[in-house]
Amino acid sequence: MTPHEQQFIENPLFLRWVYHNNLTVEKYWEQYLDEHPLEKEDALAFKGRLSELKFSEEILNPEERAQISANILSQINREMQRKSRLTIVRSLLRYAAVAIFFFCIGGLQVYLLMNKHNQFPQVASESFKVPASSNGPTLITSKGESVDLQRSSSTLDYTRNGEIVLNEDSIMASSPDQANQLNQLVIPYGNQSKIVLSDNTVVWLNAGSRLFYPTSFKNKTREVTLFGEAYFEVSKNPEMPFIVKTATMDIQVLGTIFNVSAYTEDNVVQTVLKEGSVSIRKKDAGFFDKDIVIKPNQMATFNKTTSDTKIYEVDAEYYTLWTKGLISFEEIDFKRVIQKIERFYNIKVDFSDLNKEAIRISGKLDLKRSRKEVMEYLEKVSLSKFVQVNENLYVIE
Amino acid sequence: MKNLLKDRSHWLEVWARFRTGNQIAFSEIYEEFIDRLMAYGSKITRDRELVKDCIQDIFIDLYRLRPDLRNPEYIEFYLFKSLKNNIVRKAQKDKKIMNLPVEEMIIFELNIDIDRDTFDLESDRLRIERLKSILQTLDPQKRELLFLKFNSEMNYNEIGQLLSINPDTAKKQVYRLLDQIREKYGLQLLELFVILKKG
Repeated sequence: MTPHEQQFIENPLFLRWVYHNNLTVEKYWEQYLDEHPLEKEDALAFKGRLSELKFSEEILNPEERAQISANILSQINREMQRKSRLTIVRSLLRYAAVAIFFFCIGGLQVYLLMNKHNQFPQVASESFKVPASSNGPTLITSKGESVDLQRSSSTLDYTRNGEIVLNEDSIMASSPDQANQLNQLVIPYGNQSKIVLSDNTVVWLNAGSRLFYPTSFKNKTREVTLFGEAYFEVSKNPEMPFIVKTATMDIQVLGTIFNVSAYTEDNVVQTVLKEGSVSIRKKDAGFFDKDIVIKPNQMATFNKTTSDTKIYEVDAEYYTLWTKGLISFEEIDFKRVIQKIERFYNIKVDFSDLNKEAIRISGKLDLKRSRKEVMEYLEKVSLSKFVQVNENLYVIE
Repeated sequence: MKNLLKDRSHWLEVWARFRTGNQIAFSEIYEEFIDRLMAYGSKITRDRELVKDCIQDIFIDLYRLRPDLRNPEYIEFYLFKSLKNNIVRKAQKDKKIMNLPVEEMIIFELNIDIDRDTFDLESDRLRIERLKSILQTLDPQKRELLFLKFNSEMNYNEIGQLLSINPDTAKKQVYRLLDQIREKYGLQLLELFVILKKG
């Protein structure tokens, strides 16, 4: 082998270029060969020769993949359960007088493992994540224009003829031929927003959410698509059912008030009904699967990992308090509470002790108060400490 | 750029994060390596179910033994080594292979990936057949060596440990193998050329 070839064969990036190329690697070599033109000829020839030796590889099909990750998850969950049972005994001895409630498993989600297979029609996958970098709520119109809504809590109102009213003052017109196309309202972390759709349905969008909706509803059904959390007050129209589509399920209503929490990064999709009735259909529901129907003050949870649906009796008030800047929780995993405040303040909070994630805590938080006050309160209930690492990162110890 | 390239230093950093209990790091490791482990494992044995079981087990072990894992080990090496040991151990337990020494047990069959754009001419097909037959004449350990060199980012030290040979030998063998293949392949191409001319 020539010295160049020896140099290439000892460079893992070269071998990756030959056998497992991707855009980043391709760009790297483009640039490298531009900077080292003398090596170019040898590199390309050697690459051509080596690529003859690309070996065939067995791959896992999607079902096998899903099966493997589900098995890993359930096994890990079992392990953690055993561990936290040990911890609880110790903690209870130490803090016998303090109100820790239960340790419970469920907080442990290797959620990223499972989210890969949630294919979602209509909306491109780039839409899954809300850009953390944008400053405030953004409206992306059907024409593709992006409008910065400036205030961290704002109101959008659509009139019947398709005009957009922002915060009761400014008006934007939209052309009628665009009426059936989708607008997109993007609420970054640290913001909330309210929008009135053309049928007078009111939607509050929580931090880190996206809503896709048409300027006016022209079809037999009123359909919107949600990533994240929203509270709906759907205007009554029995002839035109209102459907909220999420990545895992469709929620169909006639006229009713309910809350949906369907963050892509959460393992559980929650639907809480305050008034009226809703029926929920899983995306992968089989021909014989019945829709899930819930009554007021019931919550349907859908676990993305296990595909299990459960119905609980709840106080719907609790789940809609966020529209008033409050969150209330009763025996909720500490982790879930932390996720809420992460979104609200647009911060990141890591757990240094995984067992802490599953502590169950109860209480009420007024998120309009300062971060510091909220954290002090949480420190007390959970018996932990928030240590600030940098402006936006905290670690719970 | 560096981070996007996901090189050794990137995985060292992920490893460190994982050891502090970061679940995202665990997911990243899983996503990155599951396919590579499948590719490697199914060369060690043709028993697909066994490979899947072993992959599952090594990830569970990874999570469970997290606090005890030694820091400086390269994660790919750790996973490949665990997978190989696991497959060998399970296969022996299942008595599918009766007390064969590891070296004889692993066939490590290599096929050329023919699912490529270049594969359109009869001459391409012939060329690939030639390469295949060259690979078949190699002993299994050499095939594994080539596979590991081409499809992992492990160094000779690590590859040597996986194959129970010393690092220098591993390096020399890779060079020799490549020269050998080139020589034979070149020769055969020449023969092929002659055959085509005659035809």
